This record gives sequence, structure tokens and C-alpha cells, in this order.
Amino acid sequence: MRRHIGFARGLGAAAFSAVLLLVLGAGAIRTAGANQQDDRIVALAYDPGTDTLLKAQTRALFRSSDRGRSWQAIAIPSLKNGRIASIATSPTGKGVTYVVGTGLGVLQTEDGGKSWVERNEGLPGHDVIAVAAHATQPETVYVVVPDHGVYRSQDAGKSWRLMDRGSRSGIKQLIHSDMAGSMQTGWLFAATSKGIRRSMDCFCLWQDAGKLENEAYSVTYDPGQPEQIYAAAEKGLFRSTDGGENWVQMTSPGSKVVALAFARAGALYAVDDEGILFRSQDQGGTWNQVNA
Amino acid sequence: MRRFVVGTMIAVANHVAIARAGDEAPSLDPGRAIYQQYCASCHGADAQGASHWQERDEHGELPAPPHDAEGHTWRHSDADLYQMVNKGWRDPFNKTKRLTMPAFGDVLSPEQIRAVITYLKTLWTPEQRQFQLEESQGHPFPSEAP
Repeated sequence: MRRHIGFARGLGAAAFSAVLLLVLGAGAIRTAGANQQDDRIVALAYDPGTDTLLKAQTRALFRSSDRGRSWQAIAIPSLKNGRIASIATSPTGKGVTYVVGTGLGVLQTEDGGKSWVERNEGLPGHDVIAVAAHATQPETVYVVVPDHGVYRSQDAGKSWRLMDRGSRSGIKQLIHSDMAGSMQTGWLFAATSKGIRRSMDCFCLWQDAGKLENEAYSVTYDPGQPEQIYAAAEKGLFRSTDGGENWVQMTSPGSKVVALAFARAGALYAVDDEGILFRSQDQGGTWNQVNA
Repeated sequence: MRRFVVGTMIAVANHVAIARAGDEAPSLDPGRAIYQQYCASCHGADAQGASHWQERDEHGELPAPPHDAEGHTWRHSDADLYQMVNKGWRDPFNKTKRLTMPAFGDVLSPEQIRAVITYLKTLWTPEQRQFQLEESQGHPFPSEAP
């Protein structure tokens, strides 16, 4: 009987240990999964004013002044409560960057990341999924608030106005371009779950930009030739030379490119889902790996 | 007779005063008449726009949009609207050589262009009028259309 009790105690202890291991193991797996999520690159951007490349993970922002060979972390407040979804640099500013995210709202720096200011006055909440800086107007910026629409600020984020009511929750990235032909001051391109969509910045009419017809993760354009647009999508990397009407598949440097940025002197950067950065000097014809 | 002349002068003076009050109390008849003569054939007698105006046709052309509250005219400033009527506008994805919106600068005077835009404003909601008013701050009608 005593032996049975001892056996039962041993069995109980073993079961407890197994349960403990399972719980701890599951926790470790969850933590690892969360860390992998946190390490995921969500956005690339280029600041022409400082010739700096920026990359964002969900909980960190980095800057490179040597074309992506080395990176320095930029401290951002409020990241404990939110996740970065998108970043944008002002094409006409110097060190002006906007960071937006879910639970984060809009953060802005005007000094290359030394100090940050919240720019949420007039927005309906702190869940913001995309941001675009105007190509030529230094104070104009757009953000996407899911279930509400696209907001515009003309005072660098100090106040916002709803421009385009709608869900817009499928937008992964938004960019502004000064491509010719707009009724107003330029165009907005959005990487969405259904491909690239395009609207003049009067928000008169959103339309499919060509027939990409697969999920797009990122979109960028050549500021020197604004009708040249690049898209990273589920089925690969694509290039348009006519403002998004027609797309040609390009050589993709990685299995899945998740973010793109066009830099000075014709350099196109792409980062894949493993965080590897590639650079092309010939509009995506050939690629070189920049870092591992 | 003298009473009739004075009465007529007062009526004329009132009309001029209303016309010069600009957007606050415009006389809509000239604008409405210009719209019906030059715009309605494409944009509709009730400014309802062409059917399927949001879809390009086989030539890549966008059909004429509504000018009422369902359209996007209210999104543009006075300066932009004036420019579009005066010079026309070409959608860059239009595959034809034609302007998407014809130019009326050789047909309508600056005052007539302003009058027809003033008429269009009566077709919008109060919120849309307010939005357009704010968009026009810093982007007013040009000086040629006082």
C-alpha cells in the first residue's frame, strides 16, 4: 500500500512536471513567436534630406547612413503600447519622419529621431496603419485610420481632416507622388490586399492601378521619373513604367519582398521577410545583398 | 411714371447688390442656364453624371462624373474648378488624344465660368459646401473672375 502511495506520488509528480514543462514550453514558444513578430521588418524609407535609410520593425526603428551596411537604433517613446505599422520621411524636409502604428497613433520627429512628438489631435484613435508624406508640400501628410478613412494634415500633423471616408483597412502602405496629370497636387498609391490602388489626392476616385490582382505589401516610385512605380506583392516584384497601368514582373532578390524604398541616384532597396536587405542600381534588373 | 422709374432703379440696384454679394447670396439663374446649355449634355440635366462614371470605357476614358452630392466636384477649390472649366483636364490614363473634360475658356467668359460653378454649389450638402469653402481658402477664383 505504501508502495502504491509512493508510486501514485511519483506518478503525480511526473504528471505535474509534464504539465509544467508543457506550460513553460508553450510560453517559450509564444515568446519566441512574439519575438519573431517583433523582429519582422514592416517598412523601409529613405530620407533624401539626410541621405539616410530607415527600417522599421514592429517595435524598433533603425537608421543607416552607409546605404544599409550598418544600422543604429533610434529610440521611440510609447512603443510598449503599440506596434509600428508604417513610416514615412518628408521628401522636402531634413530628418522629418512620421511613425504610425496600432496603439501608437502618429509620432513625428523633426530632428532625425532625437525627439518625438505625438500628432494625434483630430484623429479618432491611436490605431493608424499607414502614413504618406506629400511629395512636394513639406507640411502635408496623410494617414490611414481603419474603419474611418484617410486623414490629411497640412500643418505637419498638428491637426487632421478626414478626406476619404471608408474602411480602408486593407491598406498596407500609402505613398504620395507628384506624377503629372492630377486634378489637384499629386497622386496617392496604396498597397492593398487586392493589389495597388491609385487616386488623385483630391480623393475623387480610387481605382485599381492596372491588374496586379494579388496582395501587395509595399509600393514605391522613382521621384526622378514618377511614372515608374515598383510593387512588392504576393506573387513577386513588379515594375510599372506608366503610372501603374501595366506591370511587368521583375527579378526578385528574395523569396518574399515585404518592403521597398527608392533612394537617391536611382537606388532601389528591397527587404525580404527574413530581414535581408538588397540593393539595385538598375531599376531592379540586378540585385546585391547589402547585409545579412 | 416717376414712381415706376424709381421702383425699377431700386429693383436693378437690388439685383446688382445680390449678384455682387458673391457666394453668400448669388443669383443662380445665369449659372443654371449656362449649366443647361453647356454642361448638361455630358453631366446630366440634374447633374447626376453619366452612368458608370467610375469605370473607364473601352478607350480608357472616364465618363462625365456627377456634379451633385454624389460626385467629387465639391472636393475641389474654387481655383481648381475654375481652371478645369477654363482649360479642361486630361486624365493621364485616357488612351485617346481628347481632353477628358473639354476646355470652355474660349466659349465662356470668366464671369460665366464663375456663375456656373456658383450654381453647382447649390447641389451639394451643407457639409460639402463647408469643406469646399475651406479648400478654397488660399485657392480662390482668379482675379479675372471677380
